[in-house]
Amino acid sequence: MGATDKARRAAAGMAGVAVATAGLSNCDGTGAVDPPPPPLQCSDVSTGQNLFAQAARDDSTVLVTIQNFAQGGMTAASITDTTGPVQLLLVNGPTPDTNRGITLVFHVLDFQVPTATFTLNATFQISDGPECTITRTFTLDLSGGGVTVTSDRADPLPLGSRAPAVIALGERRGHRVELEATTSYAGRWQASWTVSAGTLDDPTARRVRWTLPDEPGVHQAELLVDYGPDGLAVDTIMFEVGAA
Amino acid sequence: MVRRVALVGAELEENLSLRYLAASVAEDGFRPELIPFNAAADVERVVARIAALDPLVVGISVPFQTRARELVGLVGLLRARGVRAHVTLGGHFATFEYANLLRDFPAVDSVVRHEGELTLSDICRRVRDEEPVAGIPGTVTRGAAGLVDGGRRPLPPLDDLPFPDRRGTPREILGIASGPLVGSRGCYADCSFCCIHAYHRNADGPRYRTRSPENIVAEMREEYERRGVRLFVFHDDNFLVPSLRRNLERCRRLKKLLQEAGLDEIALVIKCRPTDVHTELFALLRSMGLIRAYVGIETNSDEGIVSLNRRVTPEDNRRALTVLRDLGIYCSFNVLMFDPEATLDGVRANLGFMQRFADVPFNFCRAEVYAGTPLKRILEEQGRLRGDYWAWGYEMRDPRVEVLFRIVTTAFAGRNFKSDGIANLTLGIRFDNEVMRRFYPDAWDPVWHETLIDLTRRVGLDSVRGLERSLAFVSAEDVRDGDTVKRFTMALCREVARADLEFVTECKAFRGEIVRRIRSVADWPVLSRDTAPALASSVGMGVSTEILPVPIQI
Repeated sequence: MGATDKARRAAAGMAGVAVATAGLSNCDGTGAVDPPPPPLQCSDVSTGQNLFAQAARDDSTVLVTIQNFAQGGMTAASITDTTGPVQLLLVNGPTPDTNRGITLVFHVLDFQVPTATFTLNATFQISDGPECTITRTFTLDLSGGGVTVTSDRADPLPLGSRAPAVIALGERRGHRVELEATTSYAGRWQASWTVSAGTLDDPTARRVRWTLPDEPGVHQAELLVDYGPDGLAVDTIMFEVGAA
Repeated sequence: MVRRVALVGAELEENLSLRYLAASVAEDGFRPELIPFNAAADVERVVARIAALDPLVVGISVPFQTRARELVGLVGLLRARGVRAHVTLGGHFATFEYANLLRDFPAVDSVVRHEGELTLSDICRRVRDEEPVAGIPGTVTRGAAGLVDGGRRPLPPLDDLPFPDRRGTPREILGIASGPLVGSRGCYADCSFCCIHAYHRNADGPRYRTRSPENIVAEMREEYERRGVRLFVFHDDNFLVPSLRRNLERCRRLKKLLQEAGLDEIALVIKCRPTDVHTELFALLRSMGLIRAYVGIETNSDEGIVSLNRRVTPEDNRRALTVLRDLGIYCSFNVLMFDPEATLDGVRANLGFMQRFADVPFNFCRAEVYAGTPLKRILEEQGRLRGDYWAWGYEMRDPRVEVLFRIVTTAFAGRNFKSDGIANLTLGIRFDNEVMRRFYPDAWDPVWHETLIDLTRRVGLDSVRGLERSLAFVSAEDVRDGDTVKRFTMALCREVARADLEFVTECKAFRGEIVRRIRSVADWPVLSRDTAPALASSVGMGVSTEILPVPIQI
């Protein structure tokens, strides 16, 4: 039972409005159900999903910073397979000073060739213990006098992040309940809410207040979390309003 | 002084793995304490409880990868709280990932590999006697020159083990006391995804062992007489062997012993493979009280059967469910619709099967990669394994199938995987119905029964329709177009959520009707020792909303 389920159960014991499915089967396991395994969530570190790079150019020098914004930091790194019109001059980090990221300095050798590539081989320390390594190739676009850096995506297909969204149940007062959108996704995300009945104070806020209707019945709030190019996730919660 | 041994793990039901360990160490003169750790939110309570016990040894059961981080993460918190006990990890995950765990978690003292009853008792004795644990068969510890592997411990005959610790009151389902037990360990099959097969094949002993019928019935009799258990849930990964003759002999013997012991009016739940479902055998099991069989269908696609190494045919699958349907035995199944080699045609074949048997509660998911399995090894060899030892992943070979998996996993997440999703609720209400049919026959009737089957069928067909639309989408559209895929997924999510609201509402009403029917025929609460104001649901607890109070006026 997750924290949310516990919260739901706690709420279910309160008078008036009840979480709809409490009292029905809930996988406590006495032979009634054989729930399937939900997909295992590979860590963002080892899949490199949250590995971000930025680049800046100053005449013939290109500065690249690479950081991981997920749960672990980089502990070791090497650059290999540099191709194109650049020469690697310096690798700084990873150190605590660089927030466990690295900074690379390249010298541009030929301004007529627009692209260069290099490969990062990095080790990450996941916050609660294990290490993992990833290899990722980056491309520098030097055309037009500027510079941009892109990496081969960890996952070129849509809906790459399967981080679940979970509705956390907050304060409840009578027919008014507070719901909060939560997710383990490390990047930017946007919440949107819809309800089957009643009113929401702000359907795009992460924390919303839902005023349930007076009519008896089961009502549902649906949370949709948008991860941008990485996909989306959905969660729902149901309440039952008892007959007066 | 009797020294305490703290045994930590999930206790959402009576956790047999912990309770077998508890019985084993108790036999050796230690005092086992069961510490339920059911969710991350329990961690503070668990740490405080163990610290207060000051145990000699702490054993943490880490059977599944989904909760491995939480369970292993507990060790550091125990040390921070000053717990100095010997801490050992066991279970499937620890059995295979011992090297990573001992490397990454210095606070862990040892890992118990494979079945742990005898090994844990040895550890407790050595720690009590202040002798080194290193080298005990079945353990891995750290040494000056690296890991010290004590070697594999031969698996003991199951009849030699003490019965599991049965402290506490049994769970009740509709007033009927329920207890889990096992009549065997392991499985004779060798499916590529299966952690059970991997676990037992890696051990020193047969990969499938059975208890004698006499030993099983002795335990059932104890449960029947001491705790009033009537519903016996066999958690054997596979209750049967691949021989009709031997299955008939064993079940006839069980039936005779149960009758001789006076264990009548009981109910049984088992799991089996489709190849072992035969009319004569299941008619016999039904006469013994079988009310539910989980049938491991797993896949009905030709390539899935090969890549998952199922060693069955689509005809076996069809025949098994037809036999059970004809005998009126409630069953359910799961479909591993997605595996590394899954194809759109294979998905189509599975959908056809799910449509044909939509009156049987089913669920669907991806074949996950567990430690030690052939599937992991194959993906590793192919360079397709992603993630790390906490959670392995992969992409399907066909990107359209991969995107289909992502779409339906997102859209059906609530329905399929949540404990209170309609897929599990349907399983639960159907099980409640079978408990009512068995123990309160006057409350049950065939018309009512058909009403529940109709709900099952509508839920199943709704899932099939959503899957078919998704299949058509990935077949026709550019699956690399993120915006189009997201728009489709978003619309499907909303459709599934809307349908679930209606199904849950209906399910809740049916649940109320079951309670009403039972109360009309039974002398409640005489039937139950449960003092709750409502009948406990099929799987358990948390029943306070069955009688809905008047809403608070705002």
